[in-house]
Amino acid sequence: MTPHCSPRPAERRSATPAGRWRAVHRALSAAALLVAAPAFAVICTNAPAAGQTLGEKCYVDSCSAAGCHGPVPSPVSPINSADNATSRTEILPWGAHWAPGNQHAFTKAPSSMAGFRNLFNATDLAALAQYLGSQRDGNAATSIDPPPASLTLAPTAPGERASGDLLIGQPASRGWSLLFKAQLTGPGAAAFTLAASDASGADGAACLRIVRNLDGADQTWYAVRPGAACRLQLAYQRPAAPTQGLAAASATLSLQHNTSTGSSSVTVSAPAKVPTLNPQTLAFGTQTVGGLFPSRPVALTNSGSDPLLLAGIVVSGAGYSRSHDCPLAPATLAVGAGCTIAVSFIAQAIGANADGLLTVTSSAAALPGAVVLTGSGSTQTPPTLVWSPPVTRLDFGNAGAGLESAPLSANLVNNGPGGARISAIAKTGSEADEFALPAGAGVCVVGQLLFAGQGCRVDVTVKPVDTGARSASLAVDTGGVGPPTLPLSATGVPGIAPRLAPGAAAVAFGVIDVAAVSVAQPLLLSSTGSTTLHVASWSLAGPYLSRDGSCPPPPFSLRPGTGCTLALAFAPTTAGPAPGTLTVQSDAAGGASMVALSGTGAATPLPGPLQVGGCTIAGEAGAADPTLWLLVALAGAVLALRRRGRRRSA
Amino acid sequence: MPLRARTVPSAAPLWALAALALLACLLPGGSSAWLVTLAIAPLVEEVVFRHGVQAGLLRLGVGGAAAVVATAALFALAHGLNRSWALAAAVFVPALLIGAVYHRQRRLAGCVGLHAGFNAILLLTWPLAAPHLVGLEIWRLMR
Repeated sequence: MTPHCSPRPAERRSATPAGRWRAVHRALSAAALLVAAPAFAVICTNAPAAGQTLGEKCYVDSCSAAGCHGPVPSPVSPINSADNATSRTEILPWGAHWAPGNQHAFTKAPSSMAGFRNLFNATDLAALAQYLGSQRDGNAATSIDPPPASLTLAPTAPGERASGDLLIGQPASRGWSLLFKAQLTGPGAAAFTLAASDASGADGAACLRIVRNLDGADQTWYAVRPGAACRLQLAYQRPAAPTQGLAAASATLSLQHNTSTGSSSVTVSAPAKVPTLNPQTLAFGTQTVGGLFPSRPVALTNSGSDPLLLAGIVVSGAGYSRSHDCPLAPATLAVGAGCTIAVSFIAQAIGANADGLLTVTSSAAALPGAVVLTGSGSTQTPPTLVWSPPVTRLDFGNAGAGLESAPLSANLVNNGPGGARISAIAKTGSEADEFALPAGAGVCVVGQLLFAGQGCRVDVTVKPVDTGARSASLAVDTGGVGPPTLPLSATGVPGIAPRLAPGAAAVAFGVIDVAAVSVAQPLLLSSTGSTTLHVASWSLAGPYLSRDGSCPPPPFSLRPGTGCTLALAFAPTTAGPAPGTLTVQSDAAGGASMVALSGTGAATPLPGPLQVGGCTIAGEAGAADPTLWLLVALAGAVLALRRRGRRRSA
Repeated sequence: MPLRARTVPSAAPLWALAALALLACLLPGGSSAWLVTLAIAPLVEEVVFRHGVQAGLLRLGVGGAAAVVATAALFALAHGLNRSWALAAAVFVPALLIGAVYHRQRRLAGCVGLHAGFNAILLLTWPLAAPHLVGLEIWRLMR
């Protein structure tokens, strides 16, 4: 059976409670006919007459006969005339309302009751709230849980809009629907707007706008099922303004509900976008007098809507100092950008509290504001640095000669109080050069500042140049106490054999006159192995000579990575090619090293038959040689002297 | 050996010397080298060392053999300082021989001829002799 819920116009126009009562009563009576049916559908059809205001709500109240609603309100409301159902209460969501001419069908369980109403005024609403929300037993009281206290919307710039949600719900243990009405009040309420939407509930739609009063003021109420919540959306539209520094707007959301308290309120605020300093206070605590401690950062963020023109960043108070990366006027801090102000505190006196203030001023007057600084001093004590975990020496054990070992590490930790700066990391000892301090991430460096609790790592490697015991010491100097000197030790064992690398596989001297000697050419002998190279001797085969070089007379030794130079010259004795060989005897791998030497003797040797000057005293310039003419002059003088002598004797 | 009395020498050697010098200047390079080696150098060197040095030593009372050796040594020294020590070694012995001839004859013509002959022989046999003299040069360079 399908009953029709079609209030007749005459009934809807009934202005008196008696008329409305009759109309509802007839409808509910029709619904009551369905009690015996296993299921039924109620179709509410609007069939308004011209110019008539339609009802906006049709609700079905289905609950157990014993306790789903309260006592009949007084004065008697027509909606309570359906007080004969059995199982549960259902209120149609607002979105399911029917438009004029439409039909809306729903089913309900048997033994239910239903009430239909087209118009609700304040009296009807109060009756409905009381009817659905009254406590029928001790554990079914409605509540708002958790009770919202405040809602802060996102900061807004002039002309911007922000919104936020507020959940009004009650626990599932409650037995009845929570009915509430929300209203914004206060001086700033006009800039806020309120809307409601369903929040997901266990059984579907949970936030039911059950009433919309058509007879005057806003009397919208919402019904929240147990275990569900109604989402209220609050929005704030900030008025347009040309400057920063707008104050936060606020309003009060007043809630009227059917709980035991009856009403409550929520503070809603909408802050403005302004430059901010975070945090607002810096507490340095107690520091040793004169000690070095980390600076504390203060983040300056231009959350405003205009570029921020910073006029100054000033810190006051004994022992406080600051550094920053913020742009000062005439530069500006862009909208949304930030910078950091590092505030340091060095306690000046024991025991006294030192208060300070970091003040940042800008074109926005008092913005972004100031940060309160606090701290105090204690007895001056130098920081203590230790090896942690403790180490007393770094022993590499056996290490291949000429091979770099894996690093051994020692962690340096500053136990405080205060910071310490590393002034030196030094190796000492005759074999210190064989130990290395490789750099790397986390490795201590000279000049590094270690605050209390901070540490770094010292890596050490060894590369023995020879076999046998190798040792050195590692010392770290800081502004504090310690750490103790670390002995370094290793035992060099044979590594890769020594190697000799001549600078060239062959040396060519070109064409040189027989009996002449070429310009010396250098030949580098390099020790490229991992251990010391011992050169026993070297020899030359062919018309080649050794001139002054950097190599000492053999035998001599070359440490890995070093070398010396031989100076070789070509002195041909015959015309034609004159190959030769340099042989170096050493303990290098592969035995003797040989270098090919080549040169060609030219066929124009010492004074020869075709050479001008021949075997005379005069030189190669021949007739142009001044020596020849000197001889001629001497000869002339001799002859002249002899003639004169003869004449005298004659 | 006592000095023998001689008449005043004619000016022929001077004129010959001047003519050869002029010829050496006029001839091209290759020809002048031969002229210097086989004619001019023997003439002027013999005039200087025999008529000049050796005869001078004898006049100072130095013994004949000593004058021969000293003149030959001075002759070789001049070659060594100006040319090479190999050449000095090569010319020392011929210089002794030429000096002995001069000591015996007191005439220059034979000495000049002998000098020119030795030069010719040395030029022709140099390729065979030079390798044996290179050792001296290397030894000098290595000092």
